[in-house]
Amino acid sequence: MGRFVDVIKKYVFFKELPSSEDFILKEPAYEYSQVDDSSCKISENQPTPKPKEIKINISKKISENIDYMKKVYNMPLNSDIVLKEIEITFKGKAYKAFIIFFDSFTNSTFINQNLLTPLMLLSSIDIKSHINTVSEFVEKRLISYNQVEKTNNFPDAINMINFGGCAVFIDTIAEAFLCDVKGWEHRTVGRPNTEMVIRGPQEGFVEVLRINTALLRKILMDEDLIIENVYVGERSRTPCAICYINSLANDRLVEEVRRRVSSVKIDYLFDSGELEQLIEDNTYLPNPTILSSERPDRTAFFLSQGRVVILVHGSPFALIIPIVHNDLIETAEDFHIRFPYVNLLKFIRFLSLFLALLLPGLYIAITNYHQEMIPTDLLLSIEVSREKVPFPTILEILIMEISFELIREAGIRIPAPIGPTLGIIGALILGEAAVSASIVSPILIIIVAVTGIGSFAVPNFSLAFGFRILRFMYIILGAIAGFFGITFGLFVHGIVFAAEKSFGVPFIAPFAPKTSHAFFKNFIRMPIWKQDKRPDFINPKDIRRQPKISRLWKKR
Amino acid sequence: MIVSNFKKIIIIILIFIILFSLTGCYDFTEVDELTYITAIGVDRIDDITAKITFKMIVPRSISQESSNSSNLNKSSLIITVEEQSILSAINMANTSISKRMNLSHAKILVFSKDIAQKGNISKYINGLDRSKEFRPDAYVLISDNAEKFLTISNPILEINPSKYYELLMNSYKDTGFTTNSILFNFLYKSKSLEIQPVAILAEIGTLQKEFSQEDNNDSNEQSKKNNEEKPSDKPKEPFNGDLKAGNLPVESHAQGEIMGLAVFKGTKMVGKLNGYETRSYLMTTGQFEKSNISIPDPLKPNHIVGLRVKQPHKPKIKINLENGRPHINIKIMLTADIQSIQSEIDYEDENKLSILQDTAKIFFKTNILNYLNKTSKEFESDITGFGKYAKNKFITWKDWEDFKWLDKYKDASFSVDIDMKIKRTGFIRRTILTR
Repeated sequence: MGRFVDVIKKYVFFKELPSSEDFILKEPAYEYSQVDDSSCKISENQPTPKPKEIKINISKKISENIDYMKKVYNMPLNSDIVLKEIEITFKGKAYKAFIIFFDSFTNSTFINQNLLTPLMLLSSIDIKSHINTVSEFVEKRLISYNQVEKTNNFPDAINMINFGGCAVFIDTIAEAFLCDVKGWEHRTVGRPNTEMVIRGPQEGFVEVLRINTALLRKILMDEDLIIENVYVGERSRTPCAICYINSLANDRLVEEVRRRVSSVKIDYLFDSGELEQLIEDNTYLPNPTILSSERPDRTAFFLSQGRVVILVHGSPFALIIPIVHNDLIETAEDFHIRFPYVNLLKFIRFLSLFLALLLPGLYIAITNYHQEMIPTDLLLSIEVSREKVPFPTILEILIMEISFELIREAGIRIPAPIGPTLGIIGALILGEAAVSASIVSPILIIIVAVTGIGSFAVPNFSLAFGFRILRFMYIILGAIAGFFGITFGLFVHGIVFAAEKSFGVPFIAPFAPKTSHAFFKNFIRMPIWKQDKRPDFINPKDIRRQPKISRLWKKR
Repeated sequence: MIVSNFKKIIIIILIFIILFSLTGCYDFTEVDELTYITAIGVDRIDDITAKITFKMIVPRSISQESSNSSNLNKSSLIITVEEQSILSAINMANTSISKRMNLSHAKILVFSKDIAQKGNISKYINGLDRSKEFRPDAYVLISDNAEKFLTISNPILEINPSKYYELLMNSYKDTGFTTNSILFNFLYKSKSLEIQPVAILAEIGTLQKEFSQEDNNDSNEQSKKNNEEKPSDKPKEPFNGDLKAGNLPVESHAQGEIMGLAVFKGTKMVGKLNGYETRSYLMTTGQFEKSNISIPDPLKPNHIVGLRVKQPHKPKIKINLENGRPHINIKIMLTADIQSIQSEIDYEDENKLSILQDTAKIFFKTNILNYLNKTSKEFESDITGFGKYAKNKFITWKDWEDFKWLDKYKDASFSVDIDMKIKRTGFIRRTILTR
């Protein structure tokens, strides 16, 4: 009981919060002027991936190495690990060796042609040059593969094998040769299914990290694009890439992303959706504060603005950091089509956002509290349509909204061949029959349908999801207190929005901490030659995107 | 004192649910628990009680299903109650009606002429501006018999009586024969020191009535008087009837008709304006939008020229106070398009156009002067609102109050300037005589 009183006290009596903010994204110039501030110091060294265990060095005796490897990989139990013992000839003397890799996780052609053939057969050929050690001989003459590393400890070797590599151990050498011969099965680069566009590139990210980074580099073609490797997951050690353009992205932002990602402690990381939840500022909010995109072109565009992107191995979605609310109602196409079209679409999307959030709540508020607002004709037809309905409006709305959510959820799960059945059930039974059975009024069906369409028109899946939940809050508020309740809800919603931060950037940034021309530069899209500056709230190192006059041919 | 975020949110939600459910919900009503009054009529019985008539919409008759049925009369329900005020009459009427009566869609408020002439309107309006239900944009109407007007005026072109009244009341924007006498304006003007209220005249049209002036002796005399006042060389209204609701030369099955204004002094009705005078009222107050007006042909008698007149700017009013006698100068700007020329004289020609223009100027000037003199000398009521312009001649509010503008208005003298331009001639550039 005492705790409840304390909590109520805490909210009734305002106490100023301690001023230590988590992280604020400041302008680069500001940062450099305060060198003495220890918190502003930018660490130059990248975080090194932490080892899974204490580094055990590789032994010179090959039998010990074999035993160790067999122990690590539970050899008789594990069926897909391949350990092949071979012999290498060096200066007439045979050395025992073995290679170890995962079956069908590696490219066997490379292993056969570039590793086994030279090691087993070509090693017996006489050498003309003066190579004295086996190690040097193997490295410089035998392994004809381009990505070879040497290591003296087991954890490195094991990491490489786990990530589609192949390790070569040779007797008398306390080192292992690690060849990156990844060759697993994966989806080819295809259309981005969740972000289809009519105009613009048609390729999407896949589940392989290197392909994704290559796609980004292919689009940007900038040597300043830095792709840092970070490993997340105590056990999985999933490779993640922090991508940014060095000469644009704010160093503080990069440092903060690096700090958050590298300090994540989790056993396995499967998807960027998990990483998003692990690094976002506030996990209790209804809307996302990190944007995920399946499209390389859109991701590259955000990189070019000075934002940071995180790619996770195994996930076709890139995480874009930081974002503001405006980014959530933009689509990939907005950057590719002419500006008047974008403005219409943006207006429609903003409308759909309001409809999805407020329409049922407003309907119930108006019909139950503010009848004088409805045009008389409409009021009368609502009255007639409700005449035979036995439930109050609030129950009517909840019945329809919940059945709509049911159809939606079932629609995802239903197998494709019987998909049309669901449409029939939804349209006929819920729409038509519910009206003829006088369970709901026909006008309500329109309200629910418009709301549903509105929520599908919101481009960002997470945002639409959040609004789907909040819609029920607004229905309840509208039913309890009419317009006053809705106003109250909007007020609280606004406060929550204004208090949100995405990696130090206020969530409604160009408007709430107001910057000049916020409306014209961010909400409305201007012709491309007028978009001469990068967004101010990201505080990039270089604010200017293009010269003030970018269409020089206009000047004669 | 570490409470998890989730618990905090739950507590906050609980607090607000309790707060809201205690305070909110109390005026929660479903749409179908209410019935909507569309018109209210008040007739005098004696000084205390009145016969109050409510006209309610029957929603079922308006929905699609029964719109084909021939029972058009069933689209509304009429209840008459004898009570002392409108709100108590609603209470009384609710005893015979299952749904709760609601004033939020009331469109018109009709008072009988007796009540208006006794100055008793304020008695009945009084409660309405206090309650939040009544809309301040309901129209105030004056009729000989309010109950009869509500019973007989039924829509023919549409089904919904509410829409019928709404469209009927808005017709002044095209005809210029009534005005926007909404309750808010009426209340404001009845308490103002600078302007007096007006209300629309509404009457039952007598079907197939022959156009004659014999029944209305008083108005006939008035029009005769007007005729005498007018110098004979000035152009007159081509149509000399007594254009007030109930006497219109219109034959129609739609029996409700509105035309002209009731002029008030405070809340006491002192006289009536006919349709043409109402047009002058609209022009002097700047509410005139557009209207088709026929003026006598200056070159050929017994013919008319049809003009579509618009008022592009509000009138400019200047007031001089000489020894407490106001002199009011009003400048009215009008534009017009030629719509018809019965005599087929080519008024498109520049010289002839100026003749027509001058005639129109004199026509409007005469009309407006007549109207102003009538309000000043006959009704002694400043319905045009010249007080608003006179007010800035005074330094303190007390001076203005002491001046008693509304009493001084009867001494006012007027001068009217008309700035009239005929701008367009329609699709015909030059009239050619029919051979």
